[in-house]
Amino acid sequence: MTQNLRRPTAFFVPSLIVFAALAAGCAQQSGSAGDTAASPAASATASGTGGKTMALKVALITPGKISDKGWSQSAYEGQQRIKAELGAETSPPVESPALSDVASVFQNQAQEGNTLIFAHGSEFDAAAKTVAASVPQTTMVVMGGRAIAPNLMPIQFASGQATYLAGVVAGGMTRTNKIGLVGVQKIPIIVAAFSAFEQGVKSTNSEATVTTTYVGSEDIAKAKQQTQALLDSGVDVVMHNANEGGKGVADAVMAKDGAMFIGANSDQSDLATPKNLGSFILDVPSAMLAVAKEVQGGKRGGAPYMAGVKDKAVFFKYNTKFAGTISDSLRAKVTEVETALASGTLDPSK
Amino acid sequence: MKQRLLRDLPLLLLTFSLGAAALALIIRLVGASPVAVSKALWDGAFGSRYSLSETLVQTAPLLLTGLGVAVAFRCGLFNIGAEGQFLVGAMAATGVGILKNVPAVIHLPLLLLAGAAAGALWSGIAGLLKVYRGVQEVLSTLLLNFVALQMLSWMVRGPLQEAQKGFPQSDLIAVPARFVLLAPGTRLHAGVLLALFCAALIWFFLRWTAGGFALRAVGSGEGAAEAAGIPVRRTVLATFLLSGALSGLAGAIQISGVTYLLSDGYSPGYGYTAIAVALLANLSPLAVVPSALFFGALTAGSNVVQQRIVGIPSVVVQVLQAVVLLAFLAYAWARERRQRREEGGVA
Amino acid sequence: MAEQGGTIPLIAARGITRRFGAFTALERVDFAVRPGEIHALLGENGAGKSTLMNLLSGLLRPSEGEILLNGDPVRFRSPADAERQGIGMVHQHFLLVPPLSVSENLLLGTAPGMGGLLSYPIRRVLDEARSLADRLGWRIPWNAPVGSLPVGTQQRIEILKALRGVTRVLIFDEPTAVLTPTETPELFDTLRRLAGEGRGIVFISHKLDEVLALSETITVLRRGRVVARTRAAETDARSLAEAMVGPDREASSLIQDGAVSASRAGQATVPAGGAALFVENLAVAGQARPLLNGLSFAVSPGEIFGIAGVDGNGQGELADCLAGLIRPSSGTLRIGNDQPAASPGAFRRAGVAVIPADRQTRGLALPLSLTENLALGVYDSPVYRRGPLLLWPALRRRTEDLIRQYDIRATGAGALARSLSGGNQQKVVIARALAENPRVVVAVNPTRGLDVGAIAYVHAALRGAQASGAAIVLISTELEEVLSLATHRVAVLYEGAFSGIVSPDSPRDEIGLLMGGKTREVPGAAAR
Repeated sequence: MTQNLRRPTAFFVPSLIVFAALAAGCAQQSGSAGDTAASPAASATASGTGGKTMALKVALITPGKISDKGWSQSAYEGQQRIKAELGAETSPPVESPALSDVASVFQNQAQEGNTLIFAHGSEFDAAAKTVAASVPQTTMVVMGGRAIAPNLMPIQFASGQATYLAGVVAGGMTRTNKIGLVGVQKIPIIVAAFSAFEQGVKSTNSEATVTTTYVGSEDIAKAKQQTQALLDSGVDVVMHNANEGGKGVADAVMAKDGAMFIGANSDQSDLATPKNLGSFILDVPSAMLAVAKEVQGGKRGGAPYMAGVKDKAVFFKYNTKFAGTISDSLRAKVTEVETALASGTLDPSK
Repeated sequence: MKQRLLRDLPLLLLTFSLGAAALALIIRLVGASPVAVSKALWDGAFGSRYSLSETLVQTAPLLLTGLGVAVAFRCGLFNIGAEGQFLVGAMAATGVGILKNVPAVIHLPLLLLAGAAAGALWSGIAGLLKVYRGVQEVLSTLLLNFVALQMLSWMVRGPLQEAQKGFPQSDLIAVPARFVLLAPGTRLHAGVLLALFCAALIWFFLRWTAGGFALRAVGSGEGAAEAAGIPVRRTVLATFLLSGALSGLAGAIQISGVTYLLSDGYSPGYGYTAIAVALLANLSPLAVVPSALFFGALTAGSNVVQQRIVGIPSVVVQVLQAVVLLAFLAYAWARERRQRREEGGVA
Repeated sequence: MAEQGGTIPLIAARGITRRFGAFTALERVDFAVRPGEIHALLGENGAGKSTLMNLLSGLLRPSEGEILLNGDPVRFRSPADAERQGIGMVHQHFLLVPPLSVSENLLLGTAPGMGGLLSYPIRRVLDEARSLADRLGWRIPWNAPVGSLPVGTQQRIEILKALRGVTRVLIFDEPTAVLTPTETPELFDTLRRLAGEGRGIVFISHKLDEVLALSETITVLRRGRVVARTRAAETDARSLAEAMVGPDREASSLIQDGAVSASRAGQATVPAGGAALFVENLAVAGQARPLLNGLSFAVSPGEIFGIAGVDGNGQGELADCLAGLIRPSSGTLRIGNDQPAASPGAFRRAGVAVIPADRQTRGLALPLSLTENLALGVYDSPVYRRGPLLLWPALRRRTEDLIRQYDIRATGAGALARSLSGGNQQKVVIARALAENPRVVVAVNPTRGLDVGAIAYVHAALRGAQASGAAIVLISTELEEVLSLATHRVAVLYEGAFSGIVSPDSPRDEIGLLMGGKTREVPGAAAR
């Protein structure tokens, strides 16, 4: 005891400082790299209030680095597209602020004259809601958020439209009439997306059955194991919505003759090629551009903005390196469904 | 004491101007203007009523965690687990904050108490391990940080997740459990005052009470303290509890004063910055106030730097904090060297 | 003094003087070891044994005089240099890395070959060690972690480390101090065998029995000078003891002839008036053997009870027991009629004040002020306390009084303890111990490291406390100090027990015998 408590402070204290400096840096980085899954819900439509166009100055808050080749970078691309296509001014993006500082960042951005602030993640939802009333001149948009105010709206992806399209493809491609789904967790948004997928399958192939399994985490090995079980039961087309776990799904598909893979959320043609049919895509820059146009047209908030096929924010992207063939008739069917989704005559969320 | 401070001043200025020069160089290298960055930093920290309030809001958690670290270090205990203690404090506070049917008057005190108790419990684990198993607290407190981080991640997806079960965050805490706001249009909350009060309290405790004396005696000469009959184990354990309670209270104050809810990735590293805060203050509870204010201003200011200056990636802001810490390290090292030289001359 | 002729010494010191500042540790010392000889070096603490060994093993260089290796003058640049030239040293405290295996430890002491770090002569070193161990008849578990082995085996590994092919002289610093009684004869066998192979052995000890049993030649050092050199066969314990401790002050006989030992505790004389401190059958268990073994004594108010002995014979453990820092394995400790729990606080409240051996770690909290250091003695006293608050203004006034009263030279009550000189630091410790008029004072090596003036001060302070009725236990390895301060009795600690309790006026040689462990011999009839 006596021995344990005594130690060379002279050496220890400086090394602690260095350690603290490093740790503080790391903690800031890891603390804000939140989950990057979009969280679209399944209701409501856009409703503009009309009026004169207004000058835009666009600010952006991202949960990660804008050079992350992923979620945060897509938002930065969206901001740049708004600048290029609408001639808007932009502010430097704020990368990964501490969550307790987000409200203050909103305040400052409003004070600096920004008229439109994109907060790129549901983790910013609560802060946006608390600030909304105090920055009435500024419109705030939270990607995947939920909260609503006269000057606050979330963007939600109509991911059901995308998975419906993927379902059409899967239903047309299956030979065993057995299709599998691998989800990360049984949460409402994923359940809704999978249900739309099943509708898409049935619309092309009424005999096909869909089996769903949930990994419970983003564990790659576990996802692979569960996919193997699906494949062993006769499934030949597998779509995932399992984030990182998708890699495990792809691995399992690669190891099985005749199996096919559909990627999720972004272009995943690097996974399971050449057994990869394509990916359903939620396109962030297109969705942001669509919202910016609405705001320019006078819309301020009050309801979620549902980004869908009509905005080209949601679509199915074929994998050009797929080894098999996707028949022209199936491709025509997909285009037909796209038109119906864009016009609103088909709505898988109902 | 004052004389020494005066004598050290040139050294302090020298190291910090060297640090500033290094910073200016880095800012130039990424293609921004050091002048514009300094201006934005100042504006963000002190430029307006709002930014001043933000600086104070940023100061509160650093002040309390800094106190927690300082108290432990004064007892010779290298508790580097303020981060974890902060997080468990925030978790416990949230758990109490979202309760319904709590009488309004006691809801806030109960929340604060829960935060402090949870923080104390968390560092108490390290205390028990040290006293009864001889486990080095540097190791145990650091590892407990990671446990707390995982626990937070689980809490906001499990027991403490919002009723809607959508996002990894809790529901908002009840209104009576929140600190009142002190100035309209700002986030300045009464918890900042509580933090300041704690600094005064800790100063008084260390300076005037027998318990504080025992703590300092164990930290300054454990052998002598033990020989004089001060119960060393008990003092060590109590110090761990106090230190953890302060950091846990910081988490509670952040919940009930700033965010009103708990979410994943809740702390931007307060508990680690706290070590720098405590060391810059030379472990004096009163000096922790300006020290925390300094780091609070740096944080508030750098938030504005990022959104105003094009081409300043967020990493540069972290570099800025790191350079300040390194400058201080250089200063502490030089001071230590000089002190030792002088003492060597006497002996 | 017997001169030795014949062979050329393996190593010799000729007229060596070594000074540290103004202090002369060795003065014109001659010393030589011949092949096949076991040469014992005998002396009290501080007599210069270690200095001489450090000179021979290359750690220190002489101020004057020269060292001869095989008859030629030599200057060792470092211990490694000396080692290369054939001088090996086995330290009292082993320089082994406990978690590493025996083989690994042997390699640690090896210098790399010509090719730098990559060319450690691993095989050669291990083969050499193995053949040596075989020759000595040792069974060494080469792959076991050193920390798991008995002390005796660890010492053998130290010997293997020190013995290289080239080694001609081996120096052993108090090698039996750490051994159990059964391990000691085995070590002696080893030493004799090594000498038999033509090596020279230097054996440092203060145990007369061992020295007489083992060595051929004995050199006695006192205060940096050689006071005796003799063949073991031509001397006895008594004359060695006399040489070691110096001439008698007054001729007198042992009060109790070394007959009072552990087993006859009840006979410890208790002066009239009742004892302030009463110790009976005090024992502290150790790993190899008991650290304290059945001590019994009583100290009356107004008495200074001296405890002499060579360092490491249980002084630390006895002091810790008397301070409440450790709980004895068995035995009784009473302060007056109290039997305080084994905690320093309880002992202090019972009236025991301690002047600890190490004033910088046990005595003072160096980063704290004088007021705070002095408060350590009274922080729980109701006089200086209101509830949880300490009355610092009152404590500060008390400090200022004590600074005056004890003549502490400091800038004020707020001065940090570390800013004081050693003597003034000790004054603070003494002020704290004596300020509250304790019933019992335990002083351990109270003048170690102090200059003459400070020593006189400390002695006066102890006499003052004694005069005002405190019972004082003075534990010191400075025999002179114990003999001059002790009022009635001096006990000699040897291997955790009293080898005798005598009058401070006893002849030095008798006390020297007791310090060397010669307990049961009748003085005057000492013979081997």
